[in-house]
Amino acid sequence: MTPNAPITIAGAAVHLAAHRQTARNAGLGDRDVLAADFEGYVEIPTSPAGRQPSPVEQLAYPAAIAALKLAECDPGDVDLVIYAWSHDQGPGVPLPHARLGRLLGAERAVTLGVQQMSGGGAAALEIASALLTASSHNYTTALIATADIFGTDPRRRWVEQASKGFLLGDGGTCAVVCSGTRRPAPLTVTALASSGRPGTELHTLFSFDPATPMPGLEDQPSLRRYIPAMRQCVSEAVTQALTASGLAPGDPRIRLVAFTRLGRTVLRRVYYPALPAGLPDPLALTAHTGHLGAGDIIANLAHIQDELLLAPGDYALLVSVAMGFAATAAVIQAPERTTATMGRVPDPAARGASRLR
Amino acid sequence: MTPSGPSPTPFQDPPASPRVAETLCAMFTETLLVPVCPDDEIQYLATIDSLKLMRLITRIEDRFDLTLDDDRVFTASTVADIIQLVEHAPDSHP
Repeated sequence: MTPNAPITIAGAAVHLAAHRQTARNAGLGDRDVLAADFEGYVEIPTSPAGRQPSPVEQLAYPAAIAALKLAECDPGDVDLVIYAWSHDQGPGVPLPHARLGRLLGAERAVTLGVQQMSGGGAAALEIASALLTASSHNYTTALIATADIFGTDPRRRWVEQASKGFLLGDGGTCAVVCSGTRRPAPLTVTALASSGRPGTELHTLFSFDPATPMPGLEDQPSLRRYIPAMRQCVSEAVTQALTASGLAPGDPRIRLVAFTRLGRTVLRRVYYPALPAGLPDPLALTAHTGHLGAGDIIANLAHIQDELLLAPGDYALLVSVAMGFAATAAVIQAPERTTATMGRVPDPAARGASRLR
Repeated sequence: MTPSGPSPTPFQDPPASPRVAETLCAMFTETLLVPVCPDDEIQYLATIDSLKLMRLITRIEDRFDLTLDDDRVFTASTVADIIQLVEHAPDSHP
């Protein structure tokens, strides 16, 4: 979709779980440690063992408070809360989206829950953008958030799940998305596009849920069978979003590409070949968070905002992939007149975000 | 030493050699923990699309400083096919 009115990211924030787990301090064997190194995993945030997990309260809420502060937005002004998650939100939290709205004091907000696995954050952004610009609604300020806590077994994360190409980290993310120009607007949403291939659903029979056994390698359907469809999804979403933004892949104003925070092998062998030639090499953003479930695209927005990676007029391409299979591409721009970044010509690779191919 | 014990040394890829086949078979053997020769059929070693083998292919690219064609990698049936891909890659530096 191309928003028919300005959609801005007024503020975005990430709140990671307090503990940092590495392959070494998690007690893995040498071969698993080497595999983690090769995949580009340095550390992941994890929640303390022994507590009842409540991702909304522990992670999404503080991320939302930080995002609202950046957006100079009172919680009472939020009229739409969209919360996405990947698995269990803890006992007694049947409606985590409503829980977040209540905790924040967004007293008159409509709250929505999105369960789209890794694509949840992207779906929340797309839904928020559509509702904020829909003539049939009067929403002005949406808060989109995600949070997950993925269990306490290091081997499950670093070996079993990592054998699928992702290393899960515990974190909450939030962005305040607005229509109009009443609030700070460090980033604007130029276009959003999604593409789906539900025919690949059989490849996604496992879940992130700690209670669900992971299939053994011999039980996995052939990934090769689905790679063409997965790549087509990425290609379609990216092409649509770039076209809607009036951008060719080689346009020098596209300063960076930020992808879902997966391991190096899957990104390199499965997804990156689907990107049109001419784009900048994607940033490597996985190392210190792992895959934040639904939250990667919002975390990537926060990274771009915090590190001032875009000069005025520059664009970023954000790509989200999710089991199912679905891909979403978002084209983001730093507005032409942003005094905070005026005169700067930032280099994304010089600010702690290396390129990865 | 790290707090949790000694750090393992990085993957020990074999030194550069004009014998690409030897190098690749050694890398396959190190990854799969079974002796591998060029005639071995990949489907009997592991599924080519398993993460383990995809990671090995990426290591091979790093080792030889080249980019392999994914479609041809995924249709390789023997280790010898992979060796041929490496030997004939336009940017190969064996």
